[in-house]
Amino acid sequence: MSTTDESILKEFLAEALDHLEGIEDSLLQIEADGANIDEELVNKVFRAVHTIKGGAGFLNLQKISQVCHTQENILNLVRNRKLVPTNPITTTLLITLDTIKGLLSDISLEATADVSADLERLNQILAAAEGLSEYSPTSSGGVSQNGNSSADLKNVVGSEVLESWQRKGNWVFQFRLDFADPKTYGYTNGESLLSVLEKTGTILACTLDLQELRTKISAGNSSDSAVELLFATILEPDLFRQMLRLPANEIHHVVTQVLAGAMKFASTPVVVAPVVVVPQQTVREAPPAEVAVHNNAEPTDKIKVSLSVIDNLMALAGELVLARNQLIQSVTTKDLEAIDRSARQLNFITSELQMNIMSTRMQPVGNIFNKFRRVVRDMGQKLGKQVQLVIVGEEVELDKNIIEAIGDPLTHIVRNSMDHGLETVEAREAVGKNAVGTIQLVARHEAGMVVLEVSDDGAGIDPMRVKKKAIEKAVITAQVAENMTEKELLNLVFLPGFSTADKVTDISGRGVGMDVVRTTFAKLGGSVDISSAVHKGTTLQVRLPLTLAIIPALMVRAAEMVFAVPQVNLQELVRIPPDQVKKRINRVGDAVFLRLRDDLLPLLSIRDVLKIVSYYTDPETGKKQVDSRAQFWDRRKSDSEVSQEIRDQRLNPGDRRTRMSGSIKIAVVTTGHIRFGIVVDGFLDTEEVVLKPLGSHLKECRFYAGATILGDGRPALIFDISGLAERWLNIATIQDARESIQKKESKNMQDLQALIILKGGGEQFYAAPLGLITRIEQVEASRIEKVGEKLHMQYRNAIMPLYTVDGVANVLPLPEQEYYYVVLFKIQGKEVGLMVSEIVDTVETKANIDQNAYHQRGIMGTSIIDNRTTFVLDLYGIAIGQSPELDQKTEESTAVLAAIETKVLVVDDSVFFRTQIQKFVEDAGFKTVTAEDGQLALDLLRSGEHQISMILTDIEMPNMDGLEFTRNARTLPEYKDIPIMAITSLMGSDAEKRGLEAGVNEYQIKLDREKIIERLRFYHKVK
Amino acid sequence: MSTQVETSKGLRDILLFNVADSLCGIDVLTIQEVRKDFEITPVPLAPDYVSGVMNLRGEIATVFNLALKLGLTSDREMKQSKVIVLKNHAGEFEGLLVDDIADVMQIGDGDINNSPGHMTSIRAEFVEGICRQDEDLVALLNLGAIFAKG
Repeated sequence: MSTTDESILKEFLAEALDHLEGIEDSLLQIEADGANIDEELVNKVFRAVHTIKGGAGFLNLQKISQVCHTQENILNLVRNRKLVPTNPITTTLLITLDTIKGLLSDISLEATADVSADLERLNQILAAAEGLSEYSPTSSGGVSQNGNSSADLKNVVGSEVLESWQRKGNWVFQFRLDFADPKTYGYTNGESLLSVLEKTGTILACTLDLQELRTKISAGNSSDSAVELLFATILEPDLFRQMLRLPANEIHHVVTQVLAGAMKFASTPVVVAPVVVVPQQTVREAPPAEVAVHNNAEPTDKIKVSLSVIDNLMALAGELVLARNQLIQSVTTKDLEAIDRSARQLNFITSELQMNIMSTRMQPVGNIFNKFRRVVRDMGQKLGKQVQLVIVGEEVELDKNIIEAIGDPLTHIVRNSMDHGLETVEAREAVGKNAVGTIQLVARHEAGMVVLEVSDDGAGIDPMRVKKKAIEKAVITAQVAENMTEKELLNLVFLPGFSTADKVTDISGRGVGMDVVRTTFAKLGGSVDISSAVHKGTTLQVRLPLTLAIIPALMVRAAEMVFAVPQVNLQELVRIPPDQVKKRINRVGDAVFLRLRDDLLPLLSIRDVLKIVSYYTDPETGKKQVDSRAQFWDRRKSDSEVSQEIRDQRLNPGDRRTRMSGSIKIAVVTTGHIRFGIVVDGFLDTEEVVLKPLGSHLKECRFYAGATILGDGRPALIFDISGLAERWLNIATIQDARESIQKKESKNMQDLQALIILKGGGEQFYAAPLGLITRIEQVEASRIEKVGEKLHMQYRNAIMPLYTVDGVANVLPLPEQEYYYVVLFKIQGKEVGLMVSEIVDTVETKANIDQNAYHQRGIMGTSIIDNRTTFVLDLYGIAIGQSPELDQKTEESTAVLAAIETKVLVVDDSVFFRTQIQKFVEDAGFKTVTAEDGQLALDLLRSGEHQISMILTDIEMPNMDGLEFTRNARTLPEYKDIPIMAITSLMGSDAEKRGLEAGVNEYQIKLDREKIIERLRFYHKVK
Repeated sequence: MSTQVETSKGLRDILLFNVADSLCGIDVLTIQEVRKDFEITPVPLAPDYVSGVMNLRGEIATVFNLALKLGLTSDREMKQSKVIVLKNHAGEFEGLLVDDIADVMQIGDGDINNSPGHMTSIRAEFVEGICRQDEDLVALLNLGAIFAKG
């Protein structure tokens, strides 16, 4: 073939394939419309087929032409509403279109291809349909002289003649014309009407003698000029119709044009309504061709771009030229400012250009989603399942490369769904589901990625079955499997060598496993995740980057090397100052974690995992030495010691080795499934980097996504965060380690007291239970009034007594200040205030309160908080000390209480609290007995040694906590109704709720002496 | 007396270069370029025979430590001053880090002898054949084996 011919052929092929793409979708739509035929749509398909036929004919591609021609006939019947496109018909049309597609993709096979099967099937449809044609004879004249009756016309001509016309590629029509009224047909007079007929074909027969007709016409005789004509022409029906402006139902196709194959003659004209034709199934139903869903039958090297994008590019090109000229100009004149401006201009234009050029490659994902309508339809038929396909977000755009690449894996997933996921109609109805199953294809944007979802409402995947299969196939050990969550078990299907299908069907089991699906998406920079609920359905979620080549990234430094962390994985940057390291970085075995808000994140140190050796120059010898610092998390000193060191160092900078290694810098990243932190030595800029692939020898290093060239020309490696996680984060180990840390934590959480730290005279620090404080006020010194030895102030229209620590205890008095702070609390329902010089902080701390050291009225003990000696205040004692009249004890109650033999059981694991509470309970006149934890308390109850009338119990205790103790105590018959008061450091409705559920009567704050005593008296019915 | 330039088949131009005391040669037609100005960025955890990557006019080229790959050592410190850049069938650029470039020599098929293995210190699988340049032995390298994975 000459080159021109070749290029014409190529054009035709490209165009034809294009047309075919559109046809398939339209056909499915037409099928769905059923009897409600959308003429415009059918016309569209018809025109497309027609165009292909035309081109094929021109290039002498006979087979294609033949098939198209027959298809046209069928489509013609459909659009004339003579045929309803049922399922079998549509299937036939689709199959024959596939044949054409196949021929087009390998055009060299065309000449020798055998399309007889396709033609036969198509012709069957035609035969069945045309057996009942559309012609309805109107009230034509009877037999006129020398003319023939309408029915006879055909016979007059004879089948041989008709055949010969047909072989010559003609159509033969029978129709009625009234020469008396030529204008109806669009002609000014009878002569022109007749002449047009004679010019375009041959009149084979007429109900009027032709000569007579001619005479009549020229004479202008309009009587009796209506004739039936049998007319042979190469004009096709629609053209012919147009020529005569005849409606389709008035033209009877006596002979249809056929290029080869059997000829079809119509039988006697009969009036019928449009029929639904069922082609005979004499030919064995060939299975629908395995259509691999590609974006094109073969990837063409052309792309369609919207004009607006091109216009944008043109505009940008213009701006680029201007900016370049400006830059050249400013360089020549060495005008730094102008150079700067130009550089910025260029920067902006380059970004815009890049974005626009990328967008030319973007195609809507609907292009590939819509292909699945055919897949779902065909597979549904084959498997006997009813499935509908719902597509959401087809306008979401992806790079052309990506669209082409996801076709295969998506096909596999959809096929899996159809094959294993969705149940048969019976099975679905048996569990009360809709008979028609649904597969949903969703595309949407999410944080710089495109998310594709394939979900079905089928049977779901049972994680237990997966586990069993995995263990059977020795993919994982039973032990590891035990600890896996359901999600992790489901994700096992992505491991190579895995298939839960009991038999491998040819539809989905062709060696394309889910592992290939996962690696395909991984190669595109994406990830895939599976979630499922048994009986409800399964969803596969794929995340893909929007573009392949250019990614925004954060540059980081590890030793002297620079790496890029893709922005899309980056969540936040964290800097741990040296004095918080011990608190926030926890280590269990080899696993290191960062405490970030409520989370424990596993950490990877880039220097460690990549084994990067860093050097420093020894200040003495000047030689390069290997820097072997300790692990970043290894701090032998406590955080507070470190703080102290820092403060010291500010005064005394030491040499490099003993100096603190500075803060720890962590980049928190996520793969979508796992969140973890990367420890680096420094954060640098964010940049848009061009991702260049690494050579095949480096493909093993899956933790590198590629490399880029930095501004200074040096290559820098780009991390693949998923690869990092895969290589160095072992899920099982992380889970274990996390749990052990959390367990330790919860133990440490016990007996955390919420305290408020205050300052008094002589820089002395005090602490008071936060739960007892109602309010803090800042008060001018002038407002404080002194009457005798007592202080008070006007507060909210009442006189409020004020106390100071030095009023009851041997401490220094408050300094002279302009303002004082008053800490308000309640005694006997009345609000009173404690004066201090400063409010320092609130803390939650394990109460290590030493009672022995500094015990005085008003001071319960001492504690070391934040490295300071702090006196823990007894607010009640302070108040009573200065206002003894507030003491609750009355003569009466003391007597009553003395008579009570029963005891109050105080359960608390802290010596301090046990003794404190015991003290004030006894002070109030009650008898007490104590226990260190729930188990011992329970034993005590069971032993019956003491008569217990009431229980005060802490919650957080070792061996058996307060709630469990309460539950157990209530099971003992004599204690099932005993009043149990839970004492805690801070009220919280959640904890309270759990307590009440366990059987606790009420909650009180541990050091709220007043309230506790009040309640004790209440329960003992003491006034 | 004219030097007959044999353009018929059999004659090849070979680039000679030094790697750790050995003289090696590869067909000039396989070579993209030779670089004397380069900076190699090491790739942590890459196979040991990969020295790193370099910037080749905007493309990333993997640089191989030829001495290591061939199993050669030297008492002196290796100069490693040149990179011979080749392009493989996948379109990737690959570089061989060598000590120095020596010469270009034209040889015919007949000049190549099969290497009996012990003639050079290079591992046998990497040597296609031996030829002579004056007094010296030149080991013609089997690039396929050198760039094979593993």
